[in-house]
Amino acid sequence: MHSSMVPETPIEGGLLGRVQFWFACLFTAGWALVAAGGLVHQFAAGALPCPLCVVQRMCMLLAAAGAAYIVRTALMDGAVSGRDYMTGWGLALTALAAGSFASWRQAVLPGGRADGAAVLGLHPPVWAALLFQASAAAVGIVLALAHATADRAVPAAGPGRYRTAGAAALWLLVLVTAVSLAAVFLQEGFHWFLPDTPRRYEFFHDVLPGRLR
Amino acid sequence: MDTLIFGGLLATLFALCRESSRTAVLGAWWAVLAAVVLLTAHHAAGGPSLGAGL
Repeated sequence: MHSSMVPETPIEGGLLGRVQFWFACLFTAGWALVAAGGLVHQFAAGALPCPLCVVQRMCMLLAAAGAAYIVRTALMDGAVSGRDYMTGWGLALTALAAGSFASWRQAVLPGGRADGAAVLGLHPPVWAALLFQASAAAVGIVLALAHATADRAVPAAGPGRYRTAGAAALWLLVLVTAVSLAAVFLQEGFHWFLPDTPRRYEFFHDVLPGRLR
Repeated sequence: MDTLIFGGLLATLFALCRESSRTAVLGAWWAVLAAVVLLTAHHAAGGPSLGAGL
């Protein structure tokens, strides 16, 4: 039984439908780039991330995956229904809440804020907490306006800049996740958990003979 | 465990990009989140006490 309030076919695409698509792309690529920044810092400065830093990286990528679910729906169907819209942003909000907790836990740890140099007066876990909270607020605003933006056609199912941008955001997220996987494998080696204070790449310590480490 | 979680996340994203079913994508996402929560609990409980049972 269909409610008269729910259209069976997507409403003709308008500005609001396109805005929601671009915001989902921006959210996906934005969090992927934040995680990539952490990887660049790790390899350029030789700074090994602590276990809670790695947890925050996971939450960033999980939140991006929530928005990526919306992007994928637009690429597949050429429209985003209210159901898929709320599912994607619900996933993102859940991951943002987990990331907020992890960054708060790290920020209040004795010495936790000293994990990395201060940037503009704030240490990395504090910046992460602010970004998680700001993103949660942005997602809340988008959900509050969902009645006006859901069930809108998005010209992303066929060739064009919408499809190119959506696919680029998705594959950027896949790339950053793949590099994160390689980085954490090198750091963790064949152990179950990262040490509380990482000092070396455990994989090389486990595999290579002493003189080659 | 961190490596396995990132591996699960990468598999989830591949399922998402390969247009797998909604159930498969969402199931994988929630499984990865559950693992992240367990890992967070392990590390949060293992650090210095906050006086709040953490």
